This record gives sequence, structure tokens and C-alpha cells, in this order.
Amino acid sequence: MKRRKFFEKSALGTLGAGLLPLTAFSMDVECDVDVNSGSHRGQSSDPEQWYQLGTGKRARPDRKVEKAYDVVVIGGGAAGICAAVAAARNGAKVVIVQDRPVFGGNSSSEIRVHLNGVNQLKNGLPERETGIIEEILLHNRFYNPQDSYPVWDHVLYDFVSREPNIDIKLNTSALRAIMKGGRIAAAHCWQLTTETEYTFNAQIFIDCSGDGLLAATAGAKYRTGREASAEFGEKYAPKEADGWQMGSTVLLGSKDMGKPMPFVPPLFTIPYEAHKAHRERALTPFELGFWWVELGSEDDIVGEYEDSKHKLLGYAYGVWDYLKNSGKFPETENYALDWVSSLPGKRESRRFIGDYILSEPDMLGYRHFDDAVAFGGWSLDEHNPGGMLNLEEPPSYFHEDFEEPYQIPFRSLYSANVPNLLFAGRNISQTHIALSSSRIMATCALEGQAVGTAAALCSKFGVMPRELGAKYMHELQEQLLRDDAFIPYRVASRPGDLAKDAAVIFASSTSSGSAESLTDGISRDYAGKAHHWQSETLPAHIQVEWVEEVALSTVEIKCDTNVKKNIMLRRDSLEDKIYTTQVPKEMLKSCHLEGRINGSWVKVAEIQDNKVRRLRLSFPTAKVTAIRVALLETYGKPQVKLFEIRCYA
Amino acid sequence: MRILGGVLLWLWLLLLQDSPQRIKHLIRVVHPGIESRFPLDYELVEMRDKAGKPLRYSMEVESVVCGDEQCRVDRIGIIWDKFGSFENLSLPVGTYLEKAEGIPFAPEDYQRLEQLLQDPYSPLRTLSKYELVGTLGSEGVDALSGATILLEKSAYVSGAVWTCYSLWHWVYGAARDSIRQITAKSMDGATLSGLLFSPEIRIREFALEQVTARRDYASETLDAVSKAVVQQPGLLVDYYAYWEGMPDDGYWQTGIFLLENLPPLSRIDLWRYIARSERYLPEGTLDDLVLPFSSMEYVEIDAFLDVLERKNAASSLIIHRLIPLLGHQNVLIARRVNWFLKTRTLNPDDGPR
Repeated sequence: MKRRKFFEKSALGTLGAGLLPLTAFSMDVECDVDVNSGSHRGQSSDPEQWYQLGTGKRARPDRKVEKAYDVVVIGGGAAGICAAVAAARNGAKVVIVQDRPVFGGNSSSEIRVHLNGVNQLKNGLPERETGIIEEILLHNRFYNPQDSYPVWDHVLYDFVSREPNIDIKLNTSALRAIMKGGRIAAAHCWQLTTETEYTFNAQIFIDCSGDGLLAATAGAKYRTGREASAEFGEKYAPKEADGWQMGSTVLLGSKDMGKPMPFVPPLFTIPYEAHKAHRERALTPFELGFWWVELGSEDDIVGEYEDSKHKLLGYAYGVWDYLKNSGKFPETENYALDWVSSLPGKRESRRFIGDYILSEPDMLGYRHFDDAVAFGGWSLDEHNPGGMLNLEEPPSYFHEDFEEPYQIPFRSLYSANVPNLLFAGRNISQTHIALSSSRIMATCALEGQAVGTAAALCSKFGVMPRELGAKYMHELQEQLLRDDAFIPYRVASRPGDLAKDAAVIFASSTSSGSAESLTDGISRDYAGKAHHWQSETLPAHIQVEWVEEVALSTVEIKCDTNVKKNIMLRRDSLEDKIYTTQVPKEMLKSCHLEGRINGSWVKVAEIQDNKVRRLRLSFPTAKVTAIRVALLETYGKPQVKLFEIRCYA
Repeated sequence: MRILGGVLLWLWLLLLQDSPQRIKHLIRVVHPGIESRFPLDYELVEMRDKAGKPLRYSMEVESVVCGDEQCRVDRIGIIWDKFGSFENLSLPVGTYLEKAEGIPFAPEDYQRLEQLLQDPYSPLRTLSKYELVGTLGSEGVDALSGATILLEKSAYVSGAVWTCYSLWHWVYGAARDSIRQITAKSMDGATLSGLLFSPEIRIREFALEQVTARRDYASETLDAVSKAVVQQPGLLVDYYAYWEGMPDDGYWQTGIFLLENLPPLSRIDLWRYIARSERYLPEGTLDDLVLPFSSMEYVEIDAFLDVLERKNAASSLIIHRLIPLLGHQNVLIARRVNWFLKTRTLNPDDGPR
């Protein structure tokens, strides 16, 4: 009853949006014009208002642009990037709308949170995400070996901007949804830097913005706060529901100046009451700031953001002041602040309601979902309600680690009541306790790839997300697996893959696994079972032969990138058993492909300096009876390991 | 129980201290847990039997190379057998191992530790001491105070990761290599060759390793090694280093012996080794090779033809033997042979004889 009541009271924000006039859907209209008439679209501007010294007097431009896409993605964090890239690569025309000057969200240089994922399960090892997010992290390893955050921003920009099907709109806020017939017809946006109003029309909208303003104005149902334990049977939830949401954090960084550096706190500093602080509010190491300088809210966390930010800056400087001036930390003497974030990183606000609400028992019970499209495995890491207002409590409750990754169903990734609206990121359909684990960015990124792919398939099949989930889940999961996403225990059936029809597949040498494993439909070693082939030496080759001649134009292989090691950008450039700053030495660097054409081996494709886990060797269609993939070099390991080979016409 | 045995052994060692059966060897050791620019000197004690042959070895070491400055360090003994396999630890009376927070090892901890030390492939093998522990926390870098062990739990005794790490690297470090060399030195060729047929694979591997190091290609050794590989094809990977050191004279004769006697999977491996090898394979060398072509699997036929193609080693006799395979019921084989033969110049007498 209580839950129903909550749903009913949510999101009346649609009222205004529904009354907005609709604009033409079928065409792009760019109106970057001098509006000398002063009457363009009802706006008025004195034709002599602007004295442009070069060209003379004219009216202030009234910039309005209307464009049509297949998919509109709101938000340019890890989830939004992956959603946009997945949709674009699967054939959709996409615009990505990001309200900051850079991509990356919480991981950007503006905030600098590590792009964590399944960093460490109970067995002590990661189960790293693959697919688009891994491609991004590898891209960073190649182009940002110096671990620079500002460069990371542009690694992401490079990654997105090279996609021909994506239009990028940075510094652009999606202000409201324009509704038609209960669906979102367009996103009304404002680009700060160009004073331009954008209207982006599309069939499918994906809200990866975290706070989800577009979705909220579309009338999508959502909830905030903590569920009562009984509602979903969550042992770590409070007995009574309340409004508390995990807070936002201001991070800072310091550097050793090689000489004593006095520190005078600014006036807005709030003194740190160390004597009250729980022992887990560790002050050392101090160089890179404190994730627990955090402020939550039990009410309107979005509306309170700027006030909270002011306080957070005060708290952050207060902790630094304590380190520098309390006399208890002489090791800070030569250190000075080098960077303090001006944009607190958010953990929680709206959680939209989908056809399924993911909850703690699903995660801890490792529930199998037939519509699983993503996974997570960060611990249930529920930050202290109140944050800095509640110093006596631990800064976070690490309720429980996971034995293995949990699954995330597609039904949690689309709105229950706005049919063409998908979500990825912290705003998906889940409980507060579920969010305490799934909010982690690499997990959000997997959701992003899932909904981006889903959006493209919605366009392809002419359906909305719910119908896609009901009728085309197989197609969605298969596409995700082909694109190197991983869905726990889901075996790829690989439609169209001619490697399945091969008479024999064998390798030049085998030190572990087997060549036959390359077509077993699982592209990582998992749950104690090997799904790989590894050579004894390099170079090595894999050979696939057919009884009848086959016409091929693409061969795809998945190589080892060691998913048991984390490769994300970290501020401390940590190098140990499970973290590295290096390009994985296991990764295949170069290879070439030969086809046996009329009995002779003919080289048809090659890749040098490979930078991805899923390699695609494309070539003009050739009729072959066999292929031989010559694996020439890795980034350091003397053997090569593969997990999959696929062959397509 | 094993530790008690170790204590008794320690007493026995003390009694033997002045015995002529106790030989001291100075060895130089690099331990990954010890920060030193140079190898350190340690005393490896060899114990001999009445015949003066090595029986076992011991070395006194620090119980733990401490990574977090919170360890108790004792001198303890490690005992190896004559092949360098770990036997047990030897604790002086009154000495005991300690876990975190000063808790003494329980009997099951000792048992677990000795199990771990018997695993030459332990995950501890590849770690530096800096990789042993890290910190785990929320999204930031500082996170919770206290170290988190970055190893699978099965790889160490809970609360004693430094002890496990230290001892494992003592057991499988330079001392083991020295032991194997000292023992091998005490053996003549016939004795080593005899060990090639030991029921224990670790001893067979020891023997092959040592004949390879000696570059012993005397005909009786060569014969013994080849037969040992045929008897135990698992030795093939280690055998390549021995074979590669062999002079040209007899090289291919040995190869043919193996090809004719190894099981198909090992034979394929050998074909592929030959294909990669830079040894010259004169045309006609394989003429004497007797193989059941008609019953060979496609993968082996392919590997064999690959050798002929890469080494340009197809004689007219080989071609003659291949021709019947054109009618093989396995299309892949018939087609592969056909394509191979199409690249050769056939003589009228190459046909079926």
C-alpha cells in the first residue's frame, strides 16, 4: 500500500511539459539567423539592438535549432557515453547531451572519482567489465599513460567524437521533455556557451544524467530515500522508510612542494571536529583527499545542491586545515593544496521506476534474470546518512561483499510509465540499498551499453523498450555478447556465426584451455571453468576449416586483457596485484588473417598495434575453405590467449 | 605431527653437527622479500648417507621477511629432499610461528602452511612483496584503514601472509636450484639416466633437466632420454631444450624415432615444433619414417604437410605415400593433400606403386 502511494505521488512535473507545443518531427531545422523581423517564433528583438562594428547594426540572434535523431542520450558520464556509442555503432543516429564542458561525469577532471566496477570480489580478485567501458579504459591506457585527469577528459572526447553517428552537445542542459501521446517527443535543451535552444526529436530517449531531470519532467515515476526493510526484504535497509539519500563529495588533491607550506584557511572553512570522528574517517593517506567529506539529504537533494556545495567546500578545507594546523600531522608540512573540486560528485537522487525494482535480495541471492543485460559486484557500500553531519558513525557501511557478480535485468532500465524512456546509471529502477552497490561507474557503463543497444534495436524493430524486452530479448543479449559485453552464465548462441559450422578448429600449440573453447559461447573464464585457448609460444595460430567453401567478410576474435586486474585511471596510479596502470601485457598486439582460397593461403586482413579486446578483421568477401589467424605479438606476455572466434559472411 | 618430526630432525641435525656426513655449501640468495642490491650469502647444509651420497638438505632462514613491521622473526630450518622438493620445516625447541596480533600458529595452521609450501605453482610465486597487501574502500583512494590481502584466501594462512610469502620463496628460490645441481653432480650418467624412468614425474623432470644441463648426448643417454619421452610424453616440452642442443649428427634420427613411437597428440606437437625450428631438414630425411597415414587425423596430416611445405622436404617417396590419401573419406584430408600435391611437380613414377 505504501509503495503504491509512493508511485502515485511521484512526478507531476509532466503537467507543464505536456502543454508545450510540438514541432516538426521529420526534418532538421536550424535557425541560427539574424532575426531582423523581430518576430521569429514569437521572439522580439530590436533590429538595431546589436551594433556589430564590423557589419553594422542588426538584431540579437534568437538561436533555436531543431533536429531529429533516432536516439537522444541525456548525460555524458560513463553510462551516457556507453549508451550513445552502443546505439551509434548499432546503426542509430544519436545526439548526446551533456551539461558539463567535459565528458566523464563523476570520473571527469571536474570530480575525479575512480571509475570503479567489480574491483574485488570476496575471492580477492576483480571480475572486470568488458565491452565499451573496457575499450574506453584501454584507450586511456594508450593515450594517457601519464594518468592525467584533464587528458582523461579528452580521451573520452576522442572516444565519442570519432563515432560518425554521434552528435555531441556539451555545455547543454536538457531542461524538459516535450510530450506527445504519453511519450517523449522531444528534449528541450539549452546550450550555455552558444545561447542556443535545442529541440531534439527522437523515437527513443535515454536518461543517463543521474538526477534525471528530463525523465522527471516527462512524468516518469520515481522515488527517493530509503525503503523500509520489509518492502523488499532487505536486511540492510532501515525498519522504517525515510528520505535519506547518500551524499555528494568534494575531493581535493595536494602535492609536496619540497619546503614548508603554511596554510591559511579561507573564511568559509568549517572546522573539522576530529575528536568526534569515527576511526574509519582515515586522515592518512592525505594526499588525494577524502571520499567521506560528504553531505547527504533526507529531502530535496537536488534543490539543496548549491547550499550543500558551499558547506562541502567548508568541510573539505576544514579537514585540510586540521591536517596542516593541528600539529598532529607533521608529515603534511611540505604539502599544499593542488586541486579542490568545485563540483561535488553525486551519489544518489532520483531512482526511476521500471517494470522491475532491483533490490538487495536479488543481489545477495545472485538471482538469475532471463532478461539480464548487465552485472555488478561492488560491495553493498551504503554511505552514512548525513555524512559530515554525522561524524560519529562510520563514513560508510560496507555491508557485504559479493562472491560473484549479480545480474541487472533489462526491466530495471526502462520507465514503467513513459514508454520510450530508458535509463542507465544511478537513476535506474532499484532500491536505495541496491544503489549502494550498483552506483559504481563501470556498472553504470554496462547498463549504458545495454540500453544504447536496446535503443538501436527498438528503432530496428519498430518497438518500444518494454516490447523489445518481451519479444526481442534474445536479439538484445546476443548483440551485447557479440559486442563483448558479459552477462553472467548467458551462453552466446551466435546467430550467423559460421565458425559454429566449422568441421574442425585447432591451434598451433596449446598450453592451457582448448581451441574448441573459442566457440563455446562464453568469452571469459568464469565460475571456475576455462573458456579460453592459450598458446605455448608466439607466434601462434588458430585454424578453422569447413567442409564446404564459405563466403566470409569479417572475422572477430576476443583476446585476453586480463579481466582479473583493474585498469581504470586512478589518482594514485596504483600498481599491485589487482590494479595496474599498464596496457595489459596479455593483450594481442598484432595479428593477421589468412584465408585458404583455392588451396592457397592468402592474407586477407591484418591488425597492427591493436588496442581493443574484441578485434574485428574485415575484408572484401572471400570464398574460403579455411581461415588461419596468425597471432604475432602481445604487449609482453610470451603466450597468447583467446576467448572467442566468430566468422561472418 | 610433521612439525614434531621437524623438531626431532632438528635435534638429529644438531647431533650430526660435527659429523663428516654434514657438508656446508655457501650459496648466494636473492629473496624477493629482502631489499638488497646484492645477493646474500647463506649456508646450505647437505646431509649425506653412509655411502656419501646426498640424502637431504637444510638451510636456516628468517621465519618471516616482514612487510608491515608487525612481525615476530625467528630462525627456523627448511628441509628439502635430495631433489630439492620441500619436506618440512624444522623449528628449534621453544620456537613457534606467529600470526597477526601475536596469535601463535595452531596445529592446523602449521599443517596448512606445509601444504602451501609443497605447491611449486602457488600464487605467491609471481608476487612482489609490495603486491601482497593493498587498501580497499569506497570510491576514493584512502578508504578503510588497514591492509587487505590481495590474494585468494586459499593461497595463505589467514593472518600469516608474510610468513607464507617468505617461506615459499625460501623453499623455491636459489637454494632449490643449488640442491639440484649438487645432487646431480654426485651422480654419474648412468644413475641420472636411470632416474629418467622413475615412477615419480618430479624425479624424471629432474633427470631430464640435469642431462640437458650437462649436454650429455652419449648414445646410451640419448637412447634413454628418447625412450623416457616415449614412455612419458609429458616430458616432451622439456625435451625440446635437450634436443635442440644436440649436434646435427643423429638429430633427425632421434626425431624419427620419436615420431614413430609417440602417441598422435604428442606427434602433432612435435610436427609443429619441427615446423617452427630452424634446423635444416634435408629432402629425403623423412623417407624412412613409417607412419600410419591412412589412419591419421586431419590435424596431424595438416601439421605434417605444413612441415613439408615450410622445409621444402617432400621427396618423391613421400609424395608417393601421400597420393592414396586423395581418396580419403575425410574430405578435409583429401582436399588438403590435393592442394599440397598441386604445388609439387609430380613425376610419372610418383603414382601408386
